Amino acid sequence: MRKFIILTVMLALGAMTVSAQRSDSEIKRDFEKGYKSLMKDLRNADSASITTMAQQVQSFKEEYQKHQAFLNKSVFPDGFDETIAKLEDQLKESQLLAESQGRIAELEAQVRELSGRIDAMSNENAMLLKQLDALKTEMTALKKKVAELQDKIVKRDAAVFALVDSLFVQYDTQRLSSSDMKKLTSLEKNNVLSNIKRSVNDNVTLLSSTGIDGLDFPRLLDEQRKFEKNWSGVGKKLADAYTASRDRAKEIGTIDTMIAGWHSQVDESFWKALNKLFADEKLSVAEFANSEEFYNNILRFIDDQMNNVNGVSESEQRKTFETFAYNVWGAKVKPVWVPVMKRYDMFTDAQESEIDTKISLWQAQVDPGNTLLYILVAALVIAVLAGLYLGMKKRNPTA
Amino acid sequence: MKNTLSIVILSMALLFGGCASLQLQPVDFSWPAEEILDINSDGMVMARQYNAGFNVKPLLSKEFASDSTSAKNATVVRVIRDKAGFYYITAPKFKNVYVFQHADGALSLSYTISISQEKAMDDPKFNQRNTYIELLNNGAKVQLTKGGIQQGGAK
Repeated sequence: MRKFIILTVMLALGAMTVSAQRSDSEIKRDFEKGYKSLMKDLRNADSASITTMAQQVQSFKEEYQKHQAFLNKSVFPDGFDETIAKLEDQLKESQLLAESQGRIAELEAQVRELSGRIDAMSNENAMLLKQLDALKTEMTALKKKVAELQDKIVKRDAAVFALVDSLFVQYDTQRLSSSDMKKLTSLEKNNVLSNIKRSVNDNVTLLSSTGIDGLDFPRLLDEQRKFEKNWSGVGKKLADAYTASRDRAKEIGTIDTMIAGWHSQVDESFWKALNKLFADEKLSVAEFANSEEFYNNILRFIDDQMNNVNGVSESEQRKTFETFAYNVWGAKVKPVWVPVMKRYDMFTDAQESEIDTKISLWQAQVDPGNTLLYILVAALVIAVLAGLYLGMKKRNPTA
Repeated sequence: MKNTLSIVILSMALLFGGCASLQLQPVDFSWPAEEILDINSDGMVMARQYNAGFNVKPLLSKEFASDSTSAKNATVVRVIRDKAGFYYITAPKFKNVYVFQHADGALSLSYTISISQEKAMDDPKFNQRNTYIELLNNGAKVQLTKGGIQQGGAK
């Protein structure tokens, strides 16, 4: 057994010796082959494989170092030294390239990510634009519907009050008797209180809808005031008619509260819309919430502009004047808002004249060519006012 | 006349004698490694590194004699040149190593070294060892010179 093992070991060693026996030419061939293969791999190396390649070059160099003299003679034309130098040069070049490739790959990844984000954003934008188009169409349709609704609400309000009037005229009830059940039944049958409540509710809902144009608010205020006036006429009559019914009397109180709420809301919306008119044109009129503030803030704004408190250029001053005088005051506030305000004692003729005079003086300042003309106009206005004052004094000597 | 003839003979002797004695030494014709050369269909081999080529058909005929199949199956020969310029040629399935020297437009056989009369070599290889050529044969190393196996060379 021992002999067998020794024999096996000896045979194995012998076989290894035979297989490991390389001639010089084979060493040379393997060296050249290894060099070519390494060069090829180095040229194709990337950032992931370059470290391994550097180790392989080092191992290759170490493996053939002991044959340096022989390879220097036999490897044509470079020998061992030049071949290894070429390999190391290529390694350096490939390392630089791999480093650049790594950076390029990073940049490419960034570019891909960014272009992906841009694509996504572009898609989102396209979708939003599409939605906007659809909304614009919807908005136009909505505005049309709102106008239609507004018109119908106004008509129904008028019909409700016409009905109430008709009922009271029909039964001639300046003093409705509580025992006159026939008249009450008629009121009940026609749902008078429900209809008035519904009218108020519908008007309040309309006020908060999005499709209302800024210039509609004066009309809404006008409608509210008309409704309130109508109600103040019939409310008393209905209260008399329902003195016997506690529930109905309570309902009339509720309507009073509802109309008062509507009044506040319409006022608030009215002033907000008027403020927005100036803000949209970037005119720095201080915010106002009632007629007094409105008047004062407009005057202060004109004074500030005339004193040029912001220190802007002449062309800026002229631009601000034109925007205020022509685009806002002249084109919108004066023809649309002021008449409604005056109708409900929120604004007076004197206040309007005062603002107009100020605007004329402001124009004279920004447009000196017309200074004389505006001074004459101002003098004329003062003369007219003085004449009116003297005339009134003469007619009423006690004042 | 006698003197003239003597002068001519002496001059010729000096001239030719001088030429014959001019030698450039030392020389080193050695190839650092053997060349493994492919045999083409015409029997030509080419050592490109040394710009040397020759036809091996007569050598294959001599080695394989009656065995034309082996001659036809031979695909490579191994060649190495020693310091003195002698070419050592062998190939797988050869039993001999042939030593050639330059002749006028030819390589002429200088010596045939018999390695084994019984068994042909499987994969013989040469190494340049300056003072001799080393033959590797089945794990054995044999030292060869142009005159045959060097004494004590077989290991």
